[in-house]
Amino acid sequence: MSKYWKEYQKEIAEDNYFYVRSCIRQNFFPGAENLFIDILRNKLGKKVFEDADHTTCTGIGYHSDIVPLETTMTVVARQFALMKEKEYKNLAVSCVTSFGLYSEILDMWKHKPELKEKIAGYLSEATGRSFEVPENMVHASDILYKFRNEIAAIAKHKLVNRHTGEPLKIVDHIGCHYAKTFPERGVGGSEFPQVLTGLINAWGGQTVDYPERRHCCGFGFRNYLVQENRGYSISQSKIKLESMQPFEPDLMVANCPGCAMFLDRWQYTLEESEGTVYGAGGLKIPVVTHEELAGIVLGYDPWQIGLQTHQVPVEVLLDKIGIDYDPELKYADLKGNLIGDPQMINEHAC
Amino acid sequence: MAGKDFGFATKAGRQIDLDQLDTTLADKIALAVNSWRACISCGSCTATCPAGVKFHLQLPTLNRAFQLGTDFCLELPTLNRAFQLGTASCLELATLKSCLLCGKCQLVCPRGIPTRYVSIQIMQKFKSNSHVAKGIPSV
Repeated sequence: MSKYWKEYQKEIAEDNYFYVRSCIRQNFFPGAENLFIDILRNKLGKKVFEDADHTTCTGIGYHSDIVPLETTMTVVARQFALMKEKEYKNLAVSCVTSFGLYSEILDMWKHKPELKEKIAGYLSEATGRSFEVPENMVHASDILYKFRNEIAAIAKHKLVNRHTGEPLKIVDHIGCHYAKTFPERGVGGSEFPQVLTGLINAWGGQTVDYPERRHCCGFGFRNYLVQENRGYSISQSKIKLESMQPFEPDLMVANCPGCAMFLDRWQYTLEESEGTVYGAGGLKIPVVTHEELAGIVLGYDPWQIGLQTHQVPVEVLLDKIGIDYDPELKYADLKGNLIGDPQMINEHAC
Repeated sequence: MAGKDFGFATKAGRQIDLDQLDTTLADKIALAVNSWRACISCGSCTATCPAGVKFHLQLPTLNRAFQLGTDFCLELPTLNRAFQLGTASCLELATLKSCLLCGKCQLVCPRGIPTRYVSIQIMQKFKSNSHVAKGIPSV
């Protein structure tokens, strides 16, 4: 490997992860994080610890100017303190917002050690805890990337259209806060992000290189918090969708919960408000997260991992790959009891 | 189709589609004055332009619009379109006509662009397009 490409690699710990969940991922895609932990523990044999005392990182509040920076830093320092107490050194972050925030804070502490000392004082005063910064900090998608070939070796399905035998055309969308702010923290940096492309290629799919591939999804925090501003958010997603439409992708995969959520939900909104869909055959394009993509190829039950919580129905994708599922159990609980189909709401709150 | 109202709507993008650019006029001018491409739109020429006060002649704005070849600003797209279509009775003719060719802009240009010559070239290219140039002084 040339020395230049070495700069685009990152160190990903082999084992012993202190896993911190994402506020929004566990709300938008409630099965994804349990699935990730299950894959690591039971498919790859890794040690993963998650602490019941872990809280939000306050990232969305911080990026919305609601939570002051020093408060955010103290909360993050507390997460590091929990990790220290459990004697873990490798932090695995579920959320791209959190990952970006942790990266930003670690960078600020690196350049301003006195700020780190000040936050340590706040944490000690408030909780009596002390912390150490992680030796290794990765995003959850980095870990799947590291073990992509091991997953491929035990996969039950390939990302191949069983009707045509062709690889599925998959759009990879990297969250902006994964590598655009601190390129050295992303696999491939911000110029050549490989973290999702690596998964897609290893599992039999084909990535789609379309003009707006690196454009933001439009999440943008303040862009959607106020209803009147959401036009800015949906307009960004529309730019991406219009750009990828000619390539007729079978699927989108995103490592950021916000990106996956908006690329998924805004397709519904655009269909309802403008009558436009961007997938082939007059259908919308399914969107999954990196954990869910791994779950799909590993043969997990689609409804057990929460694929029914996506706005865009995933059945078309499952049929293409050849995954068996029971349509009757789409909206059943874990015991198989039907809990009722989602109902359309007529009033949109806030 | 009147779709569902969510309380917000998509907004038209402001991105510049490079496939849609019409830089014909800009290319012709740049061919005559190579250094024109070096304009950084600093505004020094506008600041010193005696005609600019009254007639709003702004060479950087003209330059930028020429180079973008789009409806990005008020003046030049109209001019550019007029040049292309051969139809013009536009306000921009008046702004061009107001150039005194005094050369103050050339004195202050930090990139050393012969701005007076640029003005002349714009007028000449415009004039060469038949009746569009009606009213433009001879140079």
